Amino acid sequence: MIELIDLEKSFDEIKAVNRVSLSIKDGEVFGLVGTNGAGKSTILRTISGVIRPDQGVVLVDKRPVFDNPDVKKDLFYISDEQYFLPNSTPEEMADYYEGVYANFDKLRFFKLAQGFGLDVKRKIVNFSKGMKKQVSILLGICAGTKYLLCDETFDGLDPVVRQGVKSLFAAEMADRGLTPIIASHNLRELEDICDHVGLLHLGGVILSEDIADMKVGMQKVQCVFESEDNERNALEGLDVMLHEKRGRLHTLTIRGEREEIENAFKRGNPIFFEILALTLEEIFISETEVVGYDIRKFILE
Amino acid sequence: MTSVNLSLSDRIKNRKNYINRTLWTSLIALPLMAIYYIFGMVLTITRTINYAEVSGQSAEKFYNSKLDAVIVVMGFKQIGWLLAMFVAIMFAYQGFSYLFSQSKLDFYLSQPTTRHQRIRKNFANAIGTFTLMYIAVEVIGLIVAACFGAVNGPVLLNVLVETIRTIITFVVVYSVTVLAMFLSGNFPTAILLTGFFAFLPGIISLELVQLKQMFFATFSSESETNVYLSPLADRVFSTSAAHDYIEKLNYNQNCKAVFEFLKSNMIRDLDTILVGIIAIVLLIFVSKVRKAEDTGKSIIFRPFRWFVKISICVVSGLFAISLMTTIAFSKQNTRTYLLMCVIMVITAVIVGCIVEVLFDNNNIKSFNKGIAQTLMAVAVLFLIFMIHKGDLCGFDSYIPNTDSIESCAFLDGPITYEYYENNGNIYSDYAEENMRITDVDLFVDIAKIGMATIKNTKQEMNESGRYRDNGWNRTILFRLKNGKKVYREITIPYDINPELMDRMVSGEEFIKGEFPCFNDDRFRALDKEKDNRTVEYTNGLEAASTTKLSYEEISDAYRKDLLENYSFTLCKEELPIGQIVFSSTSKNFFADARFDVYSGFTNTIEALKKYEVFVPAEYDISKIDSVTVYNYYSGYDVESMTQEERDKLIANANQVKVTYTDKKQIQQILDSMFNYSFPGEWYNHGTYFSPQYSIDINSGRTVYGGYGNGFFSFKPGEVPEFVVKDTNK
Repeated sequence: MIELIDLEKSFDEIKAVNRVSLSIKDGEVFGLVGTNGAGKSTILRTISGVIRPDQGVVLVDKRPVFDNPDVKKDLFYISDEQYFLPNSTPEEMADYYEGVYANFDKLRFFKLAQGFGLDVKRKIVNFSKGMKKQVSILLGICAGTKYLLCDETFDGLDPVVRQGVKSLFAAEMADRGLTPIIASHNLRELEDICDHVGLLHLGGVILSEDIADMKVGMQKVQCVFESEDNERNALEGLDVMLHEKRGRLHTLTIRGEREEIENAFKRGNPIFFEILALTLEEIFISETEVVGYDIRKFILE
Repeated sequence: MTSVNLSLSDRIKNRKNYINRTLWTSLIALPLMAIYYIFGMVLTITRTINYAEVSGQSAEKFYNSKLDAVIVVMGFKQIGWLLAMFVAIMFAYQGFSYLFSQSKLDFYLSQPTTRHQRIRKNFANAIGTFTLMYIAVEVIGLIVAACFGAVNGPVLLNVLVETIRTIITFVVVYSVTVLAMFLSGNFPTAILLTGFFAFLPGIISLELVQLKQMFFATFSSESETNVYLSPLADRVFSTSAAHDYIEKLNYNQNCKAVFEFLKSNMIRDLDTILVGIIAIVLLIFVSKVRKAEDTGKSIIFRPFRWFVKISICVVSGLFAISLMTTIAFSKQNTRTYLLMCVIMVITAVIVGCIVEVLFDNNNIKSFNKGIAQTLMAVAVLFLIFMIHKGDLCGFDSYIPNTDSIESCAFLDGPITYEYYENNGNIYSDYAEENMRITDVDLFVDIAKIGMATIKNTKQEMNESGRYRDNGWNRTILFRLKNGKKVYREITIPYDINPELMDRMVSGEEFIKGEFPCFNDDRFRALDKEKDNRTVEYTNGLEAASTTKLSYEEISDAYRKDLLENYSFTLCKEELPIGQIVFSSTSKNFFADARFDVYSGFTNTIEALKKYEVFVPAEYDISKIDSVTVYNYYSGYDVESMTQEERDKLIANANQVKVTYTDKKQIQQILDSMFNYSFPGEWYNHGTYFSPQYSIDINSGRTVYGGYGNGFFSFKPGEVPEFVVKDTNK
């Protein structure tokens, strides 16, 4: 497990990370979401031991990470701007990492590269941006580390490759308990892959929850009432987070379990009632608006 | 397959790939080193062979030249250390370039290693790669040299020691460059900082010398310029010393010479090592406190940034005043000193503004930042200025404690012996090497008078802006018991007590240290050779020569005369009546010795007479066709003028020349003429001859006088009336 305890990091006068505490459990996909400058990369760099926090500590399996090779051999960091040795090919990068990570699987790398259509003997400098990302991801996966830190990794990948990478992550998680930590400025990128999402804004954590828990504890309802009395009866005692009305059609986001909400609406005898699937985006909008943020302004494209 | 399962060949292959990727500059360095050491060796030895063939060198000389060629390319005389420094800087910039790129930092620092492990690995890669390359090209170079028969034990030892020194130089320069990189946040700053470290000690040292030259009358350029904490200066001085010093040690035939040179050069080698140790210690500290996020800044640490700014401002301020003094201030008075201060302050402020802009990544709006540091730099400049202007450290009156002085010497006497064999005249520093005056109290008495005179003279010159000739200028040397040497310039006034000077100049220590004939084994050996050798004697007008008179005979007679007759009073009251010129040349050397002959040097005159080459001092009028007199200040009587009047006169001078053919007039001119063709050592222009006239003597097709053979003028107050009349029309 990776624990961030009261993490603080400033760059001159700018506070990039402000008292961040997070827990990243093993075997889950953790998503870090936030705008540019929210502190995602700083957190990933701190976790990977590139930068030292001003305050607080990062513990990986209860061990501090900074300048600690024993811990860092469990981490592989794919930065948003990947670096490859000058004039190297994917094969040569694999050779290099083979000497760095004890569990690096070169044969698997070749196999995966072939599957993704990457020529391992071609110079990386001639690859497209997306291909370079693929090489990085494959190198990261084949390094055999317990944690894989990906900074904006899915940006620039086409949907097919993205899906392929997601499948790879899933397979690795199932096979050897890989824990990917993925940072992105786009919530929609992470929706179908993350188990847990931490939302960052201006260096602080606004929210950090399991997506499943959020989905179970929150429902989106569309309904039509015959009268206002019926509406009052139905909504009495419910924790309504968002309420939108277009003509007679009500759209509500309500905190609570599905059964509890269904029972409550029976009291209002609605003409029309339907519980809809909530997107991650909607959950976030609801959760953050409650605490005073309008994340549509800074997280959704 | 994991790394633990890698075979040795795979590991080596991966390692080679890694070096090629991360230290690809070695692919540039290796050919450069091969060109210098292998091709250079072939070229130098070939040149030596060609030269030997053309000049018909003896077998022994040819062998020596070949050995020397190896030492020039690979030994103490090499300049390959420049290449080593270049490679060190190149390797450092490549190995640690990750410090200036966030993506590279992410790549390297996220890997399972510590920062110090990475630094150690880079150091090991760089040093290992350089050493391998250096040794490889050296071995090939030595094989080439051996094929030409240019290697022996002492040469191999020389090359081996030099190899170690070069590797040390590489490590030190590499460490300093890496330190500069760790202190910087971007490439341009790192390059500037590397230059700062490389050149600052030398620049400061040269500027301090310049200041001493400007402000201290007794400063001597003979004084050693000490540059500390500079591997570059250490190497420059060391190579220069190798060329000058080991020549005399028969170094290529003698293993002891290698150790003697190392001993004599130990301070510089230790200085280089000290720089390396300081750089590594600082590097360990700086690498601990440097943060990954410092990438992109200029100089990272604030106190160091201040240090750099203050240093640059101070150096620039000092440079400005020395430049202005050189090009604009012939006089030095209160007004010029004030101007100097203004220029110094303006320069420091402007440079301070520029430095701030550079520090803030060329942000022009930052020019007015860091005022406190600029003020500190100005304060330091004023302090340095005051120390020199007011001589607060007592430089201009410093005479070492007599108890601490081992011996003293007067330098800058006339150069009378020249023996060129390889690189220069081996007698050029004769007095410095051979004069050891142990009557320290007497020497100090003269030195005090000389220092006071030179200070007064400098003061006069500063105020008037004109040259003043108040005495004999000499460099003096105090050799201290602790091994140090103190050089000073003095002016021995023309009116110094002759008795005091006689006690010094008549002494055997002075005479034997002044005249190379007392240490002339090389010249005496020439008598045994069959090369061209002539002895000529001239009185300034006539000359006679012989090949029969041996050097040894002249030298023995001259030694005797010097010890019996030479004194300050003799030289001051009398000028030599003629001069003996001994010369000998061969394919391997050129030798020339001159002996001023005074009328009382009977032993020498007898030897000359014995071989019929003595020419009387009096000129035979029958051999003179005409005499031309030049009056440089026609219309004036310079002798009766004050110095100030003479100073003004120079600008308005009108020259007149008159030629006399009348024998009677010529005889009158010869009677009142003064021959200063051989001025000796302690003479005074003002005492002996008129500064207004010069005379040319025309005999046949030859003109004697002027800038030709001999120098003639009139004795003061004895200019014939017809000459005064004819030349002042």
